[in-house]
Amino acid sequence: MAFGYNGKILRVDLTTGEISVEEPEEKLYRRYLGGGTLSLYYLLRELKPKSNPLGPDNILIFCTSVVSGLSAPGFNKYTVAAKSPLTGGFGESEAGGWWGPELKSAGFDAIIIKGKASRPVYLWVHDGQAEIRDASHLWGKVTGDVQKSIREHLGDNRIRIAQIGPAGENLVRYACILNDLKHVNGRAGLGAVMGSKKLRAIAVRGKKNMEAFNKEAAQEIVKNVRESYTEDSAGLGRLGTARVAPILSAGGILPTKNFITGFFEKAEDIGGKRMEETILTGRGTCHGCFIRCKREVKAERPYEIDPIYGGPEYETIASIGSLLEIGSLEAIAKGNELCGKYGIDTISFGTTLAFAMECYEKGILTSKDTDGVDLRFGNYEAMLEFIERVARREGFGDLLAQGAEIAAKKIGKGAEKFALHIKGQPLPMHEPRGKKSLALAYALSPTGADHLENPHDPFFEKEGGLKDIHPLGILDPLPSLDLSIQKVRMFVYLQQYYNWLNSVGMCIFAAKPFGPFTITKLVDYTRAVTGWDTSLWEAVKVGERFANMARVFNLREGLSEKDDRLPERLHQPLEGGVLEGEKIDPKEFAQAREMYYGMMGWDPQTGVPSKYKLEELDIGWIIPQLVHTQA
Amino acid sequence: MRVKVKAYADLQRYNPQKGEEFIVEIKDGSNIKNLMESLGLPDYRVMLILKNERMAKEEDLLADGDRVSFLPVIGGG
Repeated sequence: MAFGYNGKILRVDLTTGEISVEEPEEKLYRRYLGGGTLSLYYLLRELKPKSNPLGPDNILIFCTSVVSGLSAPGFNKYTVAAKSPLTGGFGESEAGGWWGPELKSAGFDAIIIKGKASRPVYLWVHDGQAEIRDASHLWGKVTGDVQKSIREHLGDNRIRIAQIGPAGENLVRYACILNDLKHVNGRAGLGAVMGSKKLRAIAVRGKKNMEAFNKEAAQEIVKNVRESYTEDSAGLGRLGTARVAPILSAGGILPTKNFITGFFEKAEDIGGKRMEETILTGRGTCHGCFIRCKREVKAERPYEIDPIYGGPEYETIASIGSLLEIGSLEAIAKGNELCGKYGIDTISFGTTLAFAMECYEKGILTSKDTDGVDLRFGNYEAMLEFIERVARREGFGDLLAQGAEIAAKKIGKGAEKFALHIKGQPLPMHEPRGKKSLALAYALSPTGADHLENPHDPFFEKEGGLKDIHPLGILDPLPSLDLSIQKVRMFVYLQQYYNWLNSVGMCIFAAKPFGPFTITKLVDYTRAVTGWDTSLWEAVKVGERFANMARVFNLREGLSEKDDRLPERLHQPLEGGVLEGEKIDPKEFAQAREMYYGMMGWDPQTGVPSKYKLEELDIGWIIPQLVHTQA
Repeated sequence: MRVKVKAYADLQRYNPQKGEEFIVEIKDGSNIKNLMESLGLPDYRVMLILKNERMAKEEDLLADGDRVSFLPVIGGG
């Protein structure tokens, strides 16, 4: 008997309407755990190389893990994965909330979706069963209306719904997937994949309680974790992720004006404290979590903001705020609401719009190109207007809907150097020039620029902060601006740690170094829930397995070491702020990348994993896929 | 001497007077490290120290009227 998981994976073919259930053996779960790693197992086996990401052949996977969804803080995340329409490589994004735990209560650990429906549909998964239902009447509606309509129709207000919005229907390349309207699988354009399959939503409901192998031990660990958590009086719970905007600006690393500078004079106006003083109405959380980092906001003037879409996170505050030189928290909160209504990733939208604003200010674009809109930095009305135009793909919004990389190619005239993306994924809101392992994280993440690839350098500058990661064998502190071989080693280990967290559906805010769950307790909890005699060794090996599987996936899809690069701007000095003049030295970066490849057991020049490394990780079966890299 | 301290967000817990900005009385000749010790503020919780809006180190000496900001460690997310 399986403990912690169902041992059942739901398979849906939208072309044929066929629904089936797979019951994988225990070893498969133990080897891949869940999340991105288990998703890659299926993508590598079943997705034909070089498939069109927006065609019916792409495979969309919703995946929980062997330990997620029981009542423990942070263990509520699920992964959505597919081939990404933004990068052409492996795409994945995690979201919290209640949808993942509800899917497990409904009897499934994952859903694998293939094909394309002939008309709009939604999937109704409940108590071990699944049905494909007509969604023609929901197509084109905003997410809030769709959630209400499905819940009313099915007569249960506790149904959890993951869905795309009109942006996903219209194949906006950075469309997102939301659950409960405010927990978001934001990155990699997975909402467009779902839209291409004409799948508007997945509604889930179940009554099963997931059982731990050793219930008392699991509860005791959760109790200890809870007791060890001493919340800062003005920390994540009270002020949310939004609190960091003024801190990063004072430190010279708040992405501002399309990453030209790291200082924003209006940073205090868009931070968590200002939010608390103005539009904050409540604090929300996810399944089983006491940290309460989510925000609820409401306003009537100057914009009416519907509270059902939650409040803006730091990433949104920077991407549609400081990055665009917008210092109005109300405008940002309205933008957050609109992105939720239409199903748009706020990060990619902001970075793409920042690119267009810089092109406009440099004269590469004029108001003739931008539907008559004065696209200067700071124009918050333009930001709000273009969210809707991107979602509907109207006028200039149609160009922006394709993301910064493609838009820049179409515009030409030297626009490319203002398009800040890696592998097509627009940059998120952390500044590698002030914390240099992030240069490796952005360039080497298999999904393109990703700020959650590793915990960032400032944690590990002092002995006291290093204690959290001693179990990984990292014993020496390093400065944030260091990019030596020791920093590369630290990054390699921390990246595998985070790859493991993604595989088990653990939130970074609940685990060390952010949260109360220590690395050792994470392992203990996994042992208690699954009953497996497992260890940190086995755990980080899963992380490494993930990194290698994602690498092979990207190589077979045609990506190469040439894509493991940084946008030119990050090699230029920061302008203004306390870190003025700081940059990523191209030579130092190239050396660090070579060291990373070497430490990973990959060819130091090409970044191709060695066959022996893949065999060591027990994934020798993917070696034949490397032949596709020659194509 | 008196210095004006700003302890951003998470670091407010080390302010005996509550709130983000406050005045600290400290003996002449003290450096920033002494100030941190008097507040019970551990070094590993600090990402960056600013003195009069410029980057500073723990060894830097303080003068009456200085403004010192402590930025908490922020690591992603």
